[in-house]
Amino acid sequence: MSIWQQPIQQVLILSLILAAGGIISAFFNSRVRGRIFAVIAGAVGAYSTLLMVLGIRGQEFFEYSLGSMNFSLDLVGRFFIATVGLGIFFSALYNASLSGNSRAFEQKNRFYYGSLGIFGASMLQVLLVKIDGTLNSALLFMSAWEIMSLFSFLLIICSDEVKGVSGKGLTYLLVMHISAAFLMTGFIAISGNPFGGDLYGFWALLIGFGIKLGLFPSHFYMADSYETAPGASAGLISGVMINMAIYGILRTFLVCVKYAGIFGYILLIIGIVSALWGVLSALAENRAKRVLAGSSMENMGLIIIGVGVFTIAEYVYNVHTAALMALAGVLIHSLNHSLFKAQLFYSVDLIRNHTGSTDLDKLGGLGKTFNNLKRSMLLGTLGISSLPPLNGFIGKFLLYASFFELLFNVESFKVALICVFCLVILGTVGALSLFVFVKLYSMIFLGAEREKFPQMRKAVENRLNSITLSAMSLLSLTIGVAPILFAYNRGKLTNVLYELTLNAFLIIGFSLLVWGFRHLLVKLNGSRKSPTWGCGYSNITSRMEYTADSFSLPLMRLLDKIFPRKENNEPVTELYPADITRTYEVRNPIKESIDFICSKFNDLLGKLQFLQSGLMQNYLWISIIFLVLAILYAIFSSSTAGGVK
Amino acid sequence: MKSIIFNIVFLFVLPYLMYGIAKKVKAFFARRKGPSIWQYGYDLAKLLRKEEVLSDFSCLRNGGVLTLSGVLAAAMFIPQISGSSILNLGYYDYILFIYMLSFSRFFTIITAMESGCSFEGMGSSRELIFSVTGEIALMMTVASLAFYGKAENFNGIFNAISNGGTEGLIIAIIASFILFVLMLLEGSRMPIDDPETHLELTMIHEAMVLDQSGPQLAFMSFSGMVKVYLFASFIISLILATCKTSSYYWLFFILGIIIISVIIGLIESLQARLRMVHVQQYILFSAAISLILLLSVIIFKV
Amino acid sequence: MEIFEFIVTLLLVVTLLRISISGRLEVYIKMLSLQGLLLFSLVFFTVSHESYVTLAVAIIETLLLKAIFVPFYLNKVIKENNIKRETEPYVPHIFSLLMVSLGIGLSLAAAFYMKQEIPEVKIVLLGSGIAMILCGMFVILSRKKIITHVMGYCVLENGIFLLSLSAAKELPVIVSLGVALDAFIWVLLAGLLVRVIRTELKSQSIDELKGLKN
Repeated sequence: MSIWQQPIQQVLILSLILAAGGIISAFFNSRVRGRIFAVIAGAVGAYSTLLMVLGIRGQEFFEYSLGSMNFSLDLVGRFFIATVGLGIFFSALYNASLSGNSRAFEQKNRFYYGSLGIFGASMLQVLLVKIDGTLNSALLFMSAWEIMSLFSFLLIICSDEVKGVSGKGLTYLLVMHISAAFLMTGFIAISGNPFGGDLYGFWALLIGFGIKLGLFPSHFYMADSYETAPGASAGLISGVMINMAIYGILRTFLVCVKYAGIFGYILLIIGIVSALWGVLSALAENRAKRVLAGSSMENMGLIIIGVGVFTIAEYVYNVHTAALMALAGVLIHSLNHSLFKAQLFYSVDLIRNHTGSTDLDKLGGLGKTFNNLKRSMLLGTLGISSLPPLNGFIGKFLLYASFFELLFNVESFKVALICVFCLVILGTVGALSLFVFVKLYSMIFLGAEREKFPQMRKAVENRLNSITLSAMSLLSLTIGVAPILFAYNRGKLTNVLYELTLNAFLIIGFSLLVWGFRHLLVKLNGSRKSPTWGCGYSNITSRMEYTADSFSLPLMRLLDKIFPRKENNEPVTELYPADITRTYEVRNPIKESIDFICSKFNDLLGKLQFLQSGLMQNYLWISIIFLVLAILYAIFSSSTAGGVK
Repeated sequence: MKSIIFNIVFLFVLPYLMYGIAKKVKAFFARRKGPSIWQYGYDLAKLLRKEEVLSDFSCLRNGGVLTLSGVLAAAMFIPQISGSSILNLGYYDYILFIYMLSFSRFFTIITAMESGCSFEGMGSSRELIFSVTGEIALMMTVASLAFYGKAENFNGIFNAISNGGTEGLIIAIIASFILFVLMLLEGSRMPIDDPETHLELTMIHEAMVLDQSGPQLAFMSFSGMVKVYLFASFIISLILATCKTSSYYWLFFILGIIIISVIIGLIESLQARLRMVHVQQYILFSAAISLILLLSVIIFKV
Repeated sequence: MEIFEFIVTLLLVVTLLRISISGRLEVYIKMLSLQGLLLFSLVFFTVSHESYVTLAVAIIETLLLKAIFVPFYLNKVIKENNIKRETEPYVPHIFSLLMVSLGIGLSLAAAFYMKQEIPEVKIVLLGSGIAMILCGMFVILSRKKIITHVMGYCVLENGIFLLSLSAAKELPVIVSLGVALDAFIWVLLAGLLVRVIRTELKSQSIDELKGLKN
């Protein structure tokens, strides 16, 4: 058997190399550390991606067992491993570009790369585990999953950028453990153990994976933890780690055909609510990383909508074209999301390193300082607001197509209403995400500089990170321009992808044509720059600019009840007021209610504190009371059981 | 091939003619003579010959270019004067149409935000908010029409309507009402936005082009006109599909264009601009009508 | 004939949307009178009339009462009291439009499911009837002025009328007559009430003016 026939072993070894590389790098000083890790991780990431995409020929399914551990690899697994490999590759490049940068906090931490390496390795492991419904496989999966959660927590608390890092990190850890508890329960339940039927198992799995994805009621931790995490790892966590939960949902839910109908509709509802909520909360936020966190929630909502329509189309109505398009949309969108989300996080991190802030009300007019970043982020923005000819549009279009297929092939009142409703929701979410990212982009790069940053250093944008970010955006562009690369058979899907390719070339062709025309005109008539006219305001300053708040406030005022704000409007009393500060903060009602419950619970525990008196006799008394109660319970329950007999 | 050239030529003629006719109608109601109906074309030509003045803050020069190219790409999918679209794509070209318009909107706003002027920020913010509501109406209308004909492209929609008899007529009328409102929204015409206002605080689209000049402004204005033209040709194709006219289609089409521009002019001379608060309601009302369209399609089909 | 029925009910639903988004009482009255006309045309052209009595009752009820008398009376009340628009509703107009369109969708869905149970029911009439009832209730719930409540009640009553049309082939005279009478008396009472309130207010305001003088 040649080495090409053993991809599982190769990926296992690669993940070990990655983890070892991370640990080894901890022994070197901060200048070299990043480069060593970058070389190792970049090689591992690139190799695993290439292996998955090009290396395997002929065979579609692999299995391997090491002792009692069973591993397997199929097409879905290959796709996700390629995604993770790509994510690790770009993350390594970006981290290397930061090395030696004193403003990047994560570089000071010796164990940062160790955590990053083990985190990456655990993601690869999660994807290799064979999930066959046995407890053994569930345990293996969960152990890899737990390592992933733990090290993502370590990555989040690596920086000291935001106040209260440890608290926010601990919230993240706690939430991840609640998710893990649900997942474990779910795995036990579906492996045929006595407590709980299948349905409960799937509910538990849905909640577990849903928390990881940040779906609707469990999204409250996302903005905080992503904001806390250093940008370099936030990109990996938000872009790549989240895909693991999608993988989990695809793996575990698609086995379940019996409840497909119920779960399809539940997923649709959850997806719709999460997508809308996510995009609106992104619109409400004014700090770049929180905006990106909201957008993550939105994209996960879209993906869950895709999984829902796949389940309904495949298992309830047997419309295979719709199911195929939905699945393709889900997979492509998860790949796209891992690309552009990571890219945007890295870009924002670069800006943060430069200016020390991610607050959109302080940034502005950076387009002249960051020339390359401006261009690559424009592509990323186009991609994430799912506009042609970028990659985000491909996934979105396939989702649209799957809904249309379902609409055309099933004649039922319910399906028609649901499909059109979902189509409208997709359109609205698209328009809103355009809003969000126009705001993000223009507040960072366009207009006048709102604040002068004393530490302006162009060195932050070095060659390596501009190459990395440009490469990411170019990869996005490639996927958007040539989605035909994903086509693997001659069906409707291929035709649709072909049409998308044509469309991308159409828009690019028109742009070139009009660009040439403009170029000609400018050559003939000339072009010059002058101060902004602005209806006769001479000398426009940054104080007159539209801020991020004012940009989105008209819409957010309509949604006052859903997204309450804390506003501090000092009234203007004099004709020439000296200084007026207006602050504006988005409240998070779900987090507030959870905090309320937690504080009540804390109070309750405080009242029970008298039990912990420190006296041995008291503890003995408690245990004796407990024992007596237990014995009494045993006696009574057995006697009633006897009575029934 | 002949029809493609026909379409493309008239794509560069009819849009500003529409605006010109609307202006003429307004002038008639004001008892004035008014400029020639070709005036908008002359204006565009003049702008193209001018020097381009950009803001000091601007760093992307090609906003206008991308706006116009998005609209032109959208024009490839809608059936126009020859009765067929320029590119006859097989699958879901209506979604491509909607997203091409979004593409051009994105760059309009990016270009507006470049100047760092607060009026432009205000205009962009308004444009985005109204576009969200408009997107609901447009998507619901297009989805209902597609569902009516089980149509995977525009041609399928029109075929289904021409075969639908009275039902088709009802659906075409409701849909054209919604599309008319959306046309006014996209082209920033009267009850939604006053194209000739001189008060920046009430502007939407005009506020976004305050700081543009020369070819950039020409591209922006022309893409607005083309948008109106595209929606108008969507409406006309729907209405003509119910009449099953095949010979002299182009004559009827031009007649339709003239009628729509006269209606635009009538509205502008008879009605005042809505208050900003009411604009949202106006568009949302058309979205509610599109819900009725959807429900009637469902009643007809299921 | 079905197409005619369909168009008329479509217009009825559009009047509902118009009512839900408007704050002007004038518009409400116009829409009420339009509803009356539409109901009249529905009764006159589509329902089979076996006796002239039912036809006469139907015409009196729809055309005279709903389309002419009630709007006229309400208009008079409004003019006398100088009320022009609804002050500050409990919910913004946009949301009330959303709620009403949601209600329309839901009621049509309900009509579809009822059709499966009772096949002879007419979906369009049933669905829009339920929608009108919901919309009337919503108007009563969300608006503040008593005169608007009266109008909401009229919409509700029209909905019941439409519902009775949808179920039976012939017009059940007694039911609709009872309901119409009820509504009529309500409108009269409310009009009187508003007048009384106005006179009270008038005297108060005059008192205030006197106080200012001193």
